[in-house]
Amino acid sequence: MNFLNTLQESFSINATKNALCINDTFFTYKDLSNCVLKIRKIIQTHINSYEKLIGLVANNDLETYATIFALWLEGKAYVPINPLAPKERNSEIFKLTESTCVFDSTMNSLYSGDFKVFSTPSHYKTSKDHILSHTPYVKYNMAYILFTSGSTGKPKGIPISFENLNALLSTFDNDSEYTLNSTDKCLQMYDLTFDASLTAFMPTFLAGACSYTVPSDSIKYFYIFKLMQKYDLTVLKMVPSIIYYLRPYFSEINRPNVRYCIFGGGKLFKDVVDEWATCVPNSKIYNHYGPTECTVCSSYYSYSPSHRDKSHNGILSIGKPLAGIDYIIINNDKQILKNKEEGELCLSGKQLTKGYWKNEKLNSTLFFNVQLDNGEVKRFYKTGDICFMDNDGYLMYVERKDFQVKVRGYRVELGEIEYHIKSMITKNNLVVIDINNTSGNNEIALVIEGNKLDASTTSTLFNYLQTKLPNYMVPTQTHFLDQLPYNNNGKLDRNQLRKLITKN
Amino acid sequence: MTKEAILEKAKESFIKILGHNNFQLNNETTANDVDGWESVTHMMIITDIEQIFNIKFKLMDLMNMNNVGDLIESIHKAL
Repeated sequence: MNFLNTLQESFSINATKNALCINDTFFTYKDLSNCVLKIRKIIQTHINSYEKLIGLVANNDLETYATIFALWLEGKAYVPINPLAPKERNSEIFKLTESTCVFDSTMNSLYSGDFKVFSTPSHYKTSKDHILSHTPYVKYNMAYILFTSGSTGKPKGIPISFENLNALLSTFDNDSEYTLNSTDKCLQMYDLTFDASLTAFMPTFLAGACSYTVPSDSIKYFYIFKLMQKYDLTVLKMVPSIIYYLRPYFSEINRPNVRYCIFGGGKLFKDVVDEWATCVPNSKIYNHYGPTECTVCSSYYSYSPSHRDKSHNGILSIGKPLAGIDYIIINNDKQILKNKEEGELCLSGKQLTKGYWKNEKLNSTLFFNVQLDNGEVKRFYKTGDICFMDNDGYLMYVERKDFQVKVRGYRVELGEIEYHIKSMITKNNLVVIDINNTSGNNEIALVIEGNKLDASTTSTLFNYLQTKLPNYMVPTQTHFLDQLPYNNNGKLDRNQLRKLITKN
Repeated sequence: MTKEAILEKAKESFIKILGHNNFQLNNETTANDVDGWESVTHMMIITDIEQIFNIKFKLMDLMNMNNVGDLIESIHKAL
């Protein structure tokens, strides 16, 4: 598949169908195509052909989606920034990519002083039919660059090429288990600076289905529930935290028309999915896994509500690698480990980025060549995720490498502690976190969402933990919070959590 | 309980959870008007209000809560 060709076919075949629903306003594929054409005109007229990286203020509107496609059809990449993030950080991203041109659909762009800003036209409904055409993409050209927070404080850029993206979308396209059609109504809850947005909106547009977007300033879990109810959505791609938030209300949710429910962007707990499955009784449920560096998704697990579902420490398996993805699991000496041995997951294949944007130091640390058994030398990326492969070929997620903390000199996996606590406390969301105590030592804290447990439950829990875990792994602090904090991308905000519990 | 009294009592939850009283609450107030009122604190405020008034909101009610007026109305209905 050439995804740009398929996209153009889809736009043309489905011209009269709805492509997007944004704030209760529908836009057809024709509206989208017309908007794409106008933006292409701006690009052709005002932007030099050698300028390949174009800034994009990721607003929640037709123009922003149309700009992505217009840039791709012109062989350019988008560099999205979150309009709610500080201007200084966003400007730094544009400077790092040397982007001089920025598309911003807002009236008075914050970036107009420092960059050449194009605001897109405000009305799109033209009567003429247009055919979108494009010159075939150069496979090594970039399709987008996303920036994530770097541990040095400087955001790090991950460039993804057309070839990378095409490899991912082709694999989805060939997957007979997951087939969208033009009548599907699909949730698009992700901010466009988060790569999981691509596996939400791209399969939707390729199939001629309709994407229902979620404004970034909304309370996402309520807004999603509202969209599900109002429009009877059939495909839900979400971060797991959405169902963690909705969990107290599962008894009020029954959506028999949901066909696919896909989770991605965080650990998926089996017990919550078991409960959620009753809310979407006819849905297939998938757990997607993948670092941005390997183009959104590199493996997935297909859940079936049975006790035989694969999980480790209560975390659902991340499944089998996608076709075209090579993986190895290594120890600290870069030796390849056997099945059932825990180590760092490393990925290779056509979806793998060529490396971090202008960051040779990080590239030489995280990318390395390995000679495989068949003699072939392949370039691998160290994901920082601790995993193991079971004997049936399923990848099990253990924990982030960074979350393997040391307590009193022992290496501790927080997920293992959570697992044992969850076997006793089944109805509350909870998390185990390492915190620095006043003496500067690491301590393990248990944070439970909801009301304080009564004394007998607490003592039963801790007596149980003493039988299951070595002493240094038993939490030494317990906190109760009404709500665990998640960041804008739906991931648990550990820094915020640490602040909240030290405030307590 | 009158809606005015409900509002006064609910305001205590806002102050407790948000850690400041630098806001006016009236029927038209939304999350955009109050510093720190976002996804996480919203759920914390809701839980606190449920405890104070000894009520349990329905997801449907929460979904349609667009401003403080809607919140007060839901509490009034549940009491």
